[in-house]
Amino acid sequence: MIGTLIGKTIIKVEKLFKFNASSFPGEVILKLFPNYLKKIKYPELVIMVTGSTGKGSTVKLLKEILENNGLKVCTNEEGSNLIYGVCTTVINNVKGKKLNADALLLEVDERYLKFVSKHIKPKYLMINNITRDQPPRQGSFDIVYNEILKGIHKDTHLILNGDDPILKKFSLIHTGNITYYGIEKTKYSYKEMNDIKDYEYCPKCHNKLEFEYYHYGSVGNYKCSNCDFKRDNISYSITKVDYNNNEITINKKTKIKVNNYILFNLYNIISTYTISKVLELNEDKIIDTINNSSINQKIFNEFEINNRKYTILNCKAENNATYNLSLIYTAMDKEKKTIVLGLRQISRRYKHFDLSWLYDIYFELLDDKSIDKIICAGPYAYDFATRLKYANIKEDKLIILDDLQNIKETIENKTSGNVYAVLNFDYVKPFIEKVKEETK
Amino acid sequence: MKITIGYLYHDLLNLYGDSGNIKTLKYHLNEQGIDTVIKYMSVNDKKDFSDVDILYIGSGTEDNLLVALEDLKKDEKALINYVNNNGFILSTGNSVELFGNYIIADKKIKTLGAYDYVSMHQDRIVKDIRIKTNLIDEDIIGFENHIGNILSYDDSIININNFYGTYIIGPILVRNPKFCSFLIKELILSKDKDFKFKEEDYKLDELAYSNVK
Repeated sequence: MIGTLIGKTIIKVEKLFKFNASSFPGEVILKLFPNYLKKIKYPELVIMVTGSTGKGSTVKLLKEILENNGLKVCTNEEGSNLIYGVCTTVINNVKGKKLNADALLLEVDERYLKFVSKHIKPKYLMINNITRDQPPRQGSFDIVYNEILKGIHKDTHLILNGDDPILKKFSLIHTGNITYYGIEKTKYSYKEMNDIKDYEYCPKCHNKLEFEYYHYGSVGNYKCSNCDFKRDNISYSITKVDYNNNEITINKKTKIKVNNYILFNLYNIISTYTISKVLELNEDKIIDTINNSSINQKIFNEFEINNRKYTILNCKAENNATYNLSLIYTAMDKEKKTIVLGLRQISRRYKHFDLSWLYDIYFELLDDKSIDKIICAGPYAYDFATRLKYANIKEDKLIILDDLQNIKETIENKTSGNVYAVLNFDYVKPFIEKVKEETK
Repeated sequence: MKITIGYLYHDLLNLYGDSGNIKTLKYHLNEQGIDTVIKYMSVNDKKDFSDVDILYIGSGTEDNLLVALEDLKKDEKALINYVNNNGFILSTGNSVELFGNYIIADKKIKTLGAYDYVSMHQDRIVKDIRIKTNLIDEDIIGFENHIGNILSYDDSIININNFYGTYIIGPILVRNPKFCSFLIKELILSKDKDFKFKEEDYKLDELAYSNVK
């Protein structure tokens, strides 16, 4: 096809000049040939993954599992998840009119699903979560829900987190298959934490949802106080989390190794396990792949400096869920500790100055005896400090730094205990580099 | 002195850190030695405002705003009575639309009619704002993200008697320490005009405020 030829040529020229814009070739081809993607013959197995967070991690893990089961898998690069990036991926992997793979596995931006699925019909669609995320771009979670809905084909098999009422809402409309996964009550589940609520009303009849327990936000075991809307039909769930042996149990029998207990990590594992089971892949190979996977490095990093344990938790500004899960994780450690909060830039996409989301985060969890000091670093340090003040944290516990210049000395000389750095993703690398610098 | 903060739809109109306003009110009232009670009132709860000294309502999704409107209409009389008695109201984000006469969206939706204005839904407005008001000698800053527009009011903050309504979302009282201090003083003086104010602590808030260019 002429489109493929031009596309492949652009990619070659890009490589020649070491210029790597993953969406550009796709953009050119879709402008020249708007129906290009419709004309390609795809493998029967087309899987798409969407949602506010965890798309990249789940795609990476699922790809490994599929490959270990002997399938040739085509995926898009992490973050190239708009229609043009997807098109570039297709161009790269097409031979003649046919995609040269046994499975096409795509991470798709939640607002672009409707464009992508118009051209490429997914047999399976995993929706990880819909959380508050980049309000200036996304509006609200209702808007994101409706955008995703527009991209769902009637007969697509959905894989959903059954603990999340906003995802369960798809069952009110969707006529195709749905498989749910979840996590049963753990020792860190809670009945009532504070007044920060995400999704508390029944999408069917608008009456109050009752929660037997929460894992975070409005994710947990819910049922409507009035109608039949409730968490049910969970096919695969984590029935036990063994916090001493780094192990989880699925459906009371399958044991899997994990390297951290951040809920997002557990949800990524159970969702990937679930679709692998739906695809009837080899159980031993699924478990083996997950046991040996390193997907968690992106959100979680642990090391030791001068006999102090450092844990780096990677969060996303304007997304309260990523912070809440990180804070819940720090609270599991009852030993003495120091917390570092830092952020360089609210968004790379726009210059708005909205910090409302800080008030949707349970910073009240940091009002705890085990915490020695809290360091707020970066251009928004005072905004973080103000938030902590309204979480009843005394000012003498706070250390404010304009940037990361003196972070190493500050941690080493002015704080004690395990270090938990709850950082926006743009501060993770600079922070790790600074604290690992050799002392002069 | 005891002050009761009525928090309307804390679990429904809660899009953007709205609860930050409650935390801030409570903190600074306590700082003045005043006890606070937070009275949560949401869908299907009986709305009794007789013991409320200040009412707060935040922003929601377009669908949730209409759920709140239907619910609030059941106790419309109590609310209008509260307004007529010059009760304090702080309304942020799109909840400000509830207090006017109508919302004009796909269809014309009758709202509470507490104040004389109309909101028109059109394209989404997303912007940082900085505005001068007659209330305080410092600009009020904030962020707007909504699809409505209030006709007949040019100001970003509508102040009628003790009603303060604005499309600014989220924790406006945190981000604007002088406005917070002003509102709290008005509130306290309405209960005791001879109140002796203690020193206030807005140090961190002020530093964060002055950081915004």
